Amino acid sequence: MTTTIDASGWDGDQSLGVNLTYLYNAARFVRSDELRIGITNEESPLLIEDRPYAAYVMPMRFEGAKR
Amino acid sequence: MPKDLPATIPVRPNRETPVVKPETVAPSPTSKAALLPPTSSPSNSAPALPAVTIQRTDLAVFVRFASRLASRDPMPALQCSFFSFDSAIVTDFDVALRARLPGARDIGVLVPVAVLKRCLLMHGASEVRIERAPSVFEHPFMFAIGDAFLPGHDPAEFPGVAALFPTTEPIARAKFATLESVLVAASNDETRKSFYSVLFPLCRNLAVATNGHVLHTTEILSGDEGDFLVPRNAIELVENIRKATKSTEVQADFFEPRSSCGSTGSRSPRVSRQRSFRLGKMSFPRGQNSSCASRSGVSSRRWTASERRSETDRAESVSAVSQRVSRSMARMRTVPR
Repeated sequence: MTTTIDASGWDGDQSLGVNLTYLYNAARFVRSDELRIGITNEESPLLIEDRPYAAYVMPMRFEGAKR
Repeated sequence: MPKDLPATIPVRPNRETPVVKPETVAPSPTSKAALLPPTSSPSNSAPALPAVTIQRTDLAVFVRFASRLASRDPMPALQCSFFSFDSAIVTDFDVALRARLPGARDIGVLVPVAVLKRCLLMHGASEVRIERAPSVFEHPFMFAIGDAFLPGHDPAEFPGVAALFPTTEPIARAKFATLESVLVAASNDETRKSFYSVLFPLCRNLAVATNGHVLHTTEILSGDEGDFLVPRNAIELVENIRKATKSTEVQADFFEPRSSCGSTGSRSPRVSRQRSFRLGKMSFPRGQNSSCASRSGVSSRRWTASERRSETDRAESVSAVSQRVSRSMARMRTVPR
């Protein structure tokens, strides 16, 4: 299943993997209608923030993904 | 075969024999006994045994949460509930739960929580009467619920209430609505105490939990300072009670060697619960700590295996020392709305 999401500052060839359970647990406590995911690079955690709650999820690198 | 062999046959008691009850015949007004003043005859009856009568609904709420603590402890005394004045206590030495039960008294015996649970299922009365029963040689601590006589345990084997629940003034306080969002990030590995806990860095008004891969934080209210590490199982119990009582707020009091939390807004006005548990001293992994300092500037590196191990070892050693020296504990209290 593929879902397209809007992203800014993102190169089309780049990909980032996230553990689905971690992402779900991080996103399910967000109360806002819109979920914002902050991505720095593949070695930095993803930031999901919706005050007063925030979650940081370490990404995974896909096999064969470009650096 | 001779028919007059000697035999001893017990005599069957005559069931039709009427039971003779001692009757007191009033002396005639003209007799000598009536003219004498009444004498105080010594009473042969034994002193009344202690008993408590508790509302079934209150006891059911207590047993619901007490069974989670008592069922997983190998010590028989810690599988029991200790009744004291208007309260009942269970503990597994890591977490202690005290529920306010109007009518409860010390009956001199520890009552197994599993027995209370079974009795609640069997008896349908609105009140449950637990009575101390006469001791027998095999079971010196007997109690009775209804018509059932059951063995209990020696209350001397139960830890002291003063050791479980602090009575000193707290050094810090905090309030929060829920920690459910933080709890999901805490690790289930009890051997890694820093990951198996929720950190309260009160100076940053945060509650933080991590398992090394994901870190969740939520803001809490506190005007005090101090870092407290609370075990995950204690927070889980608090969340379960908060949900069951539909409390809207949890109050946390942190003591010098201990911490305490309580929730307000409970819809169970007659039941109040306190939880007490050990605290580890502040030794959270540095990476998470730096991310706490700046919510937008999370540490941008993973922890190596040796780094994690050293942090975990340090956390365990500090926690072990704090438990051995100062018996670090925390207490939670549910305050009715």
